[in-house]
Amino acid sequence: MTMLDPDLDGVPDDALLIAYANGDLSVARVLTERLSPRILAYATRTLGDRAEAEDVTQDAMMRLWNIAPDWRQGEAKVSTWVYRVAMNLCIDRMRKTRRQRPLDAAPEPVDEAASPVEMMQSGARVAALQAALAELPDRQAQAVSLRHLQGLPNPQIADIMGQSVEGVESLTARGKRALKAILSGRKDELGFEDD
Amino acid sequence: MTRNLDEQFEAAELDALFAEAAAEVPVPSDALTARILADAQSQLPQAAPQSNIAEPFWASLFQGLGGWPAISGLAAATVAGVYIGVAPTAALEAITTNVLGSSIVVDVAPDFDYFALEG
Repeated sequence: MTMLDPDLDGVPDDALLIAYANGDLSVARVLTERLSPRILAYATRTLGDRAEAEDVTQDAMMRLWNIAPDWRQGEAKVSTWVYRVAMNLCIDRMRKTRRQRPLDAAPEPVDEAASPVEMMQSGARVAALQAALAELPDRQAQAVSLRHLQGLPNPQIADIMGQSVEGVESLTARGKRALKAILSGRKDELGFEDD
Repeated sequence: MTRNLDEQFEAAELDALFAEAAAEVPVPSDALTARILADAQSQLPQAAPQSNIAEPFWASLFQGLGGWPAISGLAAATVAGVYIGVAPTAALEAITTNVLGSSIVVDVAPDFDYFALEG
């Protein structure tokens, strides 16, 4: 069955989680269908790797099932909690990517003979952005990703990151400055030309 | 054709990259959903933390006494007590006579043969 139970449409996430903790497996599908698309989208846009993003999504949901018996209603939103877990999982993976890649290697091999037109393919441009994102300090990268890739409002990002709204704005501004600096050397490759 | 040598990445260009990345809307595959739900099943708490069904008072009393092993002992002691009262030993009768002055016989059921209960 892939149809959502219409009777559960108005039931808040935390009530469903409490029901799951009390042994009701049927609500797990509703929670999965509400939460996993958002987490998958955020992880895919941040990491640029579908398989890694699926792992992050599955891991984050697993931790939600595990925390269910200890969940206390009214303390946090379930979606905020799951985003926070996914954010930390993305940070771990991005750190691992940085460690495994030699510092002076390009994220993608740059073919000097390739014309800017070839590099203008959206997939390559997005990959360049994600590679640059991975070079940022962890929290700057996540603030930028949650704001500009996932489109979350600053107050929600503040809850997810345990920051003030001003803190989030500062992280985002610094992160974008750093991205511009990293990407500047590849401007032509990315197809940004003045003509 | 002159090319602008200013390599500085502009805010609008960064925003354009963000928009391209955000345009991707991945949909969870059936396989991913199945894995997540399998995890939910494997992690499902086994015992409900609180029972929703009210226990009758005797059920909690029963458990408080110690369940069947205790109840059966209690039953045996009760039967023994009734038996001793109905058919006291000679020594016990002597004590009763000394303390109370005369032997007291209370015939609870004159026509009933208690000894027929022995099994």
